[in-house]
Amino acid sequence: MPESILTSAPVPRKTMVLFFLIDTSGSMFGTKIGSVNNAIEEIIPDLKKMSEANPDAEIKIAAMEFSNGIKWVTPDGPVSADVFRWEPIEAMGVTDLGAAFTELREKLSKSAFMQEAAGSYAPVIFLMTDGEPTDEWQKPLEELSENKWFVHAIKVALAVGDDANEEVLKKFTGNENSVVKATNSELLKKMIKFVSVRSSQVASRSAAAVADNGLKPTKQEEFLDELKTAVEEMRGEAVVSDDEWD
Amino acid sequence: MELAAGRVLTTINNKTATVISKIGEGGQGTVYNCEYCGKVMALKWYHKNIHKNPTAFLDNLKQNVAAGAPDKRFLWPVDITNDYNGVFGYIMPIIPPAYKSFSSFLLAKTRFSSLTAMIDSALEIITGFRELHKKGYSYQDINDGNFFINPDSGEVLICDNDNIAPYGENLGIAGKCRYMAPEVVMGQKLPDVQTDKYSLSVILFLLTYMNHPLEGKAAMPPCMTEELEQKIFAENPIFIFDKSDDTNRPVRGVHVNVLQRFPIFPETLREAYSYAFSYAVMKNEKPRLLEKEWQLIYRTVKTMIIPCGGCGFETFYNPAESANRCINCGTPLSLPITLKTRYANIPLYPGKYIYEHEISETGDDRKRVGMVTKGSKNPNIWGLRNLTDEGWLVIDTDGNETVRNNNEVTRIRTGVTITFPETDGEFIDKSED
Repeated sequence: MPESILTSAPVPRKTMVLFFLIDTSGSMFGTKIGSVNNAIEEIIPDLKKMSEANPDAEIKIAAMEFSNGIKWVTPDGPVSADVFRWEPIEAMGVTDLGAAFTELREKLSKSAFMQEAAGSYAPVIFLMTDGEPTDEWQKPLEELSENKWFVHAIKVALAVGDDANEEVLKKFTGNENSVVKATNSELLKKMIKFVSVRSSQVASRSAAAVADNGLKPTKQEEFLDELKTAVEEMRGEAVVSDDEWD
Repeated sequence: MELAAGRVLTTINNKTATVISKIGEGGQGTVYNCEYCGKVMALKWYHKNIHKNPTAFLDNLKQNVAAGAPDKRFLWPVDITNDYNGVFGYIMPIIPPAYKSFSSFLLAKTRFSSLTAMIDSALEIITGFRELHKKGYSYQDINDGNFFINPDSGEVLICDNDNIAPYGENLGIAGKCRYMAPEVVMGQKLPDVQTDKYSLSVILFLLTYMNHPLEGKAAMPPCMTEELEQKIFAENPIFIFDKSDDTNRPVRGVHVNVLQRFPIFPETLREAYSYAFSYAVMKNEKPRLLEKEWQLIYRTVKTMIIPCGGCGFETFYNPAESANRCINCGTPLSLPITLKTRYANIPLYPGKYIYEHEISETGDDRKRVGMVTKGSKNPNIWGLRNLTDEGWLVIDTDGNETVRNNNEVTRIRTGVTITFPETDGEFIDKSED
C-alpha cells in the first residue's frame, strides 16, 4: 500500500541542551537537595511541553552531580525532555567544582555530548552550589572558558544559601548579573524553575533579528534582562523567612 | 502577575472580561480563556515591563481595535483591558479546536488530510497577507507561531496580531532570524511590508516542503551560534537548491522531506522558489514576489491536483509536461482531456473539482463550480456536473446548443465548448496538442 506524500517526517530541527551542574556535597543535605530534586522534577513537564511545540529546536537535558568527584545523572549523553525522568539525587561529600569544570569541558564537544546530526544551538549551563570549591578549580575553569560551546552558552549560577563563594560563580558565568542567590527553599525552587524554563526558551529558538534601537540583544543579554526583573519579583513575593539555612 | 479564575477585569470600552482559565504561556505574556460579552474569548495578558515603548504600543493596539480586522482570517484584538498596576491585556476570539498550530504540522504531529487542503492553506495565508497589506498594515513578525490551520479544510487563522502596525510604523519587534528578511537581521532596515513578503515566502516554502529554504548542509554547524545564524540567514543566504551555488544542498537522511518533495512537486513551484530565494532577491537587489504573484502560482498548482487512479491519493498533473507520474505511488498518469479556459488548463479526472477562479478573473479559489463524474453504467464516460446556480450553454461539435443547469451533467468530449458567465471553456484532447 503506497503512502501519501503528506506522510512526512518532522522538519529537521536543532537541539538545545540544558546542563544542570549540581553540588551534592554534604552541606546540601536536607531541604536544599530536597528542594533541588523537587524543583527539577516539576519543571520537566514544562520543558517537555516547550520542546514538543518548538520547530526551531528540541530541548534535551544533561545533568551532572559533583561532590567527591563527579557523576553524570545522564551518563549516555543529553536526554530528550520528552522522555526524561528525574531520579532524586543525594548529598554527601566534598565540593569538587574543579572536577566538574574539567568533565564539562570534555563533554562539550561534538565527539561527546554535542553530536546532533542537524546541529545544536549553544547550550544553557546552570550551576547550583552552596559552598567553597574543595579542589583546584581555577585552571579547570580557564580551560573550560576556552571551549567554544561554553563561550556561547547562556550561563547562570545559583548560590544556595549564604556560604557559596559568589566570586567563583561570577568567574564561571563571566557576568555578575547571572549569579543569583536563594536563601530559602521557596526562593530556590522558584529560581530553578525560572532559570531552567526561561533560559531554555530563549536558547532554543532562532536568534532575535533586531531591536527597536537597531542593536541586537544576545540571547544571554535578553535572558539576563528578564532574570533581573524576575528575581526582584520573587524576592518581593517570598513569604518564608529569608534566613532558612543560616 | 497571574490572574485567578473568576477575576473580573474592566476594558477601555467599559465592558468586563471574567477570567476562566489559563491556556498558554509565552515570552510576552500569558493567554487565558475569559468570558466577554456573553462569549468565551481569549485574553492575552502581558508580562510587566515587556514593551519598550508602552504608550506607542497601546496607542497602536487601540487604533487596531477601533479599525477592526482587515480580513476574516485574522484573530484580531477586539478590546483592551484597563491598566492594572502597569499590566494590561487584550481580548480576541479563541482558536476553534479544529485548527492546529503550524508548529504541529512542522513537527509532523498534525498532517493535512489532502493535497488540496495543503495548497488551500498556502492560498489562505497568501490571501490573508494580501488583504492585510492592501489595508495598509504590515505584520512585521511573521513566524511559525502565528498560524493555525484546519488540516481537513486548509482554512487558516492568523494570530498574534498585536504588533501589526500601519505602513511606515514600527513597534520595535525583534522577530526570529529564521523568518526575517536578511536586511532586517543585518539591522539595516526595520520590518515592513517588503520584509513581510520575504517572511511569507519562507512560511510558504516550509508549509510546502517541510524544510527551511536556507537549511541545507551549510546550516549544520555543530554549534549554531547567534553569529552563524546571522551569516546563514542574512549575510550570505544560500537557497538549498540555488541554481548556481551548490554549497548548501539538502543532506540525505536529514532534510528528507524537501529531498523527496522538491523534485516531484510542480515545476511552477520550483521556478517560483528558485527566483524568490535567489541571492539577489533575498538581498533585496531584485523585487520580491508579490502576494498577487504567489496567489497566481498556488492557484495554478491547485488546478493541477487530481486524484490518482492508481493509489487514490491526490497528485499533481501538469498538462504542459509530457510525462506525469503520481507523486505518491509513482504510477504514470495519462489524462487525455483537459478543460481549457482563459484562466486555466484543467486536467480532468473523476472526482476532480473545478473552482471559480478557473472560470472567472475575480473568482474565489475555494468555491467549487463543477465536478468531474463518471457514468454509473459506463465508467469510461466522464461528465462535468454544474455546481453553480447559473446555467451553462454547451455547444457540441455539430453546433447543437443545450443549457446545463445546477446539478446537470455535460458529457466530456473533445471539441465541446461551454460558455461560462465570464469565459468560454473547451474540452481539449491533450494527445492532439
